[in-house]
Amino acid sequence: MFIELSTKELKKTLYNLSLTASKDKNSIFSSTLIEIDGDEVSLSSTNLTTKFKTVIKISEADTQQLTLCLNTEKLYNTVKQITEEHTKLNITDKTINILSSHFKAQLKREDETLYPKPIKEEKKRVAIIESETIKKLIYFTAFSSGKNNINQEYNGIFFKLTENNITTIATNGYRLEETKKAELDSEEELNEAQFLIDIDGTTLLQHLLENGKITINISDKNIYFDHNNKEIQIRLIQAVFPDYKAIIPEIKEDIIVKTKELRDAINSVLIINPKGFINISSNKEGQLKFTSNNEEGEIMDYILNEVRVSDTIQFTINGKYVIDFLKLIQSEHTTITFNNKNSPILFSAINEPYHHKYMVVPIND
Amino acid sequence: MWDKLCDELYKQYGKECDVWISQITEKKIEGENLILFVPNLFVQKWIENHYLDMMEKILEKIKGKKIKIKIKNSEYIGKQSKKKDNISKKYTFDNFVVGPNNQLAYAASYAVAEHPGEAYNPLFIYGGVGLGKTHLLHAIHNHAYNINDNLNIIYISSEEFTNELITSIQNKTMSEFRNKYRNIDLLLIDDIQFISGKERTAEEFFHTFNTLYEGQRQIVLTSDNPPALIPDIEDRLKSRFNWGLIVDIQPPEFETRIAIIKRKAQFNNIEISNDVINLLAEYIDTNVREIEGVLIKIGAYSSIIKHPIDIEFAKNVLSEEIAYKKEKLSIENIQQVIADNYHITLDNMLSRKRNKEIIKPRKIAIYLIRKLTNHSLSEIKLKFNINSHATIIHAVKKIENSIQKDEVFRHEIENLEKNLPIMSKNKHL
Repeated sequence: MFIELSTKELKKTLYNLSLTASKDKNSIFSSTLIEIDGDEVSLSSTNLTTKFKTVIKISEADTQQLTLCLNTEKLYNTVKQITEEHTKLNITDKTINILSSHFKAQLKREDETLYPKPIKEEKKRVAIIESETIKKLIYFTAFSSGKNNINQEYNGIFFKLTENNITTIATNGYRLEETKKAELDSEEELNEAQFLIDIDGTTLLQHLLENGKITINISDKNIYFDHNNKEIQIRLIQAVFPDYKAIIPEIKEDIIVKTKELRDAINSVLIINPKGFINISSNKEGQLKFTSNNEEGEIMDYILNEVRVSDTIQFTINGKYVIDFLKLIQSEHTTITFNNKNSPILFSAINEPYHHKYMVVPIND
Repeated sequence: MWDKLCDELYKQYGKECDVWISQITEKKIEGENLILFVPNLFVQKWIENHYLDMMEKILEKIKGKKIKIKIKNSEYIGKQSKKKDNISKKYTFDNFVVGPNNQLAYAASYAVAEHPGEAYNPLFIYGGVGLGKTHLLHAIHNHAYNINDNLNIIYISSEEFTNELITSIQNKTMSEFRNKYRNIDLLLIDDIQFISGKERTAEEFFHTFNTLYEGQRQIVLTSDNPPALIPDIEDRLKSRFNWGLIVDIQPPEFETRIAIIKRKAQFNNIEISNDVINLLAEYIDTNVREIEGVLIKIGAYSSIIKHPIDIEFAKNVLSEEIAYKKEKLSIENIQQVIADNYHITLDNMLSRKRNKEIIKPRKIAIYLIRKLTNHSLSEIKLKFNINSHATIIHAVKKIENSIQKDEVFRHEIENLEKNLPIMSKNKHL
């Protein structure tokens, strides 16, 4: 038996499958499940969190229905060598033979019965949206998530959808980033939904999503991103995301600074304190002052001359956390909202169409 | 609140829902939950399937916060008022001492107890003896049952599963057996490695697993080894153990041992000072069961001879344990144990043969002797009939590298290491 596929499509598909397949060579999930059905073949791979499935057209075949399983890494590395336009897979009971002008390979078939059958789930549509929106939201939010073995809600990105906007939030307990896309494109559709996706899943999503519109469906356990014969399934985190709205500080003082100046100020004072702790306060002239020091007694001050603040402003935070945020946004100005030295400090910026709120917990001296 | 809820419900579904809602005989608030009592399972299921989601949404709007509604039926309450006999209430998540060695296993177990069938399925927990696997199984049972006492949960060891199967075959009650194990919400199986080599049991378990998995019912298994290392089990079963999450529990680190000793001392009403705790934590680095054993021994001695537990007293008790271990960990004992474990003769191990079946256990024996005893290179060289120190050093390095690169091999060595004193106990030289 044989099937013939476009080499270019197969290489691209196998690359994506290799991202999702398990790296544990003892597990069946290190293999790709290949299901031939008429003139199409579906290829899927999965790990504990994510499943990727794609359907590609068969150029030529002498078999209509067949299921087989092959080690993903070996198959991908073999097909990578092929230079011909089409790849022919000759299938026997135990092996797949691949012939090219300059090599031949015989790969062992794994036992496809060891692969779990997919469980049918009831899905509900939650969105039709540009993949670029999802990728951007993940890009802006992911850096704030944590790695917590006990509290899973810190290990992912929380998505909140309403009919008019989509928001992503991530936190590690010490900082929190909320990014909202306030305006939808004309063909985008959202329904109300909330879900929490593991950070590894969102990282894969960024790699696997291609440009264009995607449909997002949700079941009790998984979220599905469908686009152009490809389906990415990610397991939802079954945990309650913390009620972060309750800790957004009430405005006592708002300071608007130029983002570049803020970044320069913090980067400068971090030179002598690589641990990252910086103090932000006002000097005698009421200017915004950044200070850091270290165990050797060295001190660095940086003053933003143009920014006037009240003398009540005084807090210590991890400057590196702030730089992580400032690196991502491209707005000209950043607003710093301060209440007292024990409440979180809020950094807000608008990067149309994305609105950012970034909270950092202060450090008690 | 109830009247408002009913009004909203009628607006949504019309007066016909009154037929079902009026059957609610009692309402009770318990914390963040609203408990509703109905006369039978039929009414319970109808309300759950048709109205429950909307009722919770309406309640959230009324109260401004999420309130979970649980429906209980009087028929069921009568039958299920007792918990299973083989579950101990004393093992909970609260009294499980969490450290870096077991954090992931704890978190995964907790997630499974909170959301059976949704988080990780199956959950496979492996680790050496006395590290807390059974504690976690009981904790899952207790916690899941506290959240939803309608859940049908079975905790059983694979040995008991086998015995029940045999009895069912003999008594021709297989359909009852299958009904019992395939219509549950949560199956907790301890020491799954004991189905190794038992074909009929493995076959029955395979079908039980499939039924539960396809029905999205939770399965939790414990074992002394990861699936890849359980001998004489079919690939199709090993593969299924890999379908969910596999986590291991390692021996506790020093700080975790301290926490365990404090907790156990408190639980057993043993007054013990910090320096004694530190001493015990330093010397007993194997497993929780051993820690508990020594602690209880100290407590018992102290109580019998009416001597306070001070450092000298603890040292005396400990010295017996340490002497016992040292005696058992001689070069000859370790050689014999490893040879037996890898099914080679001692003569072959000490020979100059270089077949890979002999080289591997030889190197492992050398590595373990270097690690666990104070014998010099010269002594080891002599006992292995090896000419140079370099050969010993090379063997140790090879094993260390393999441990770093291969997780399965690492676990193999850890198992041998942990069980060496126990295995040695049974060897007669």
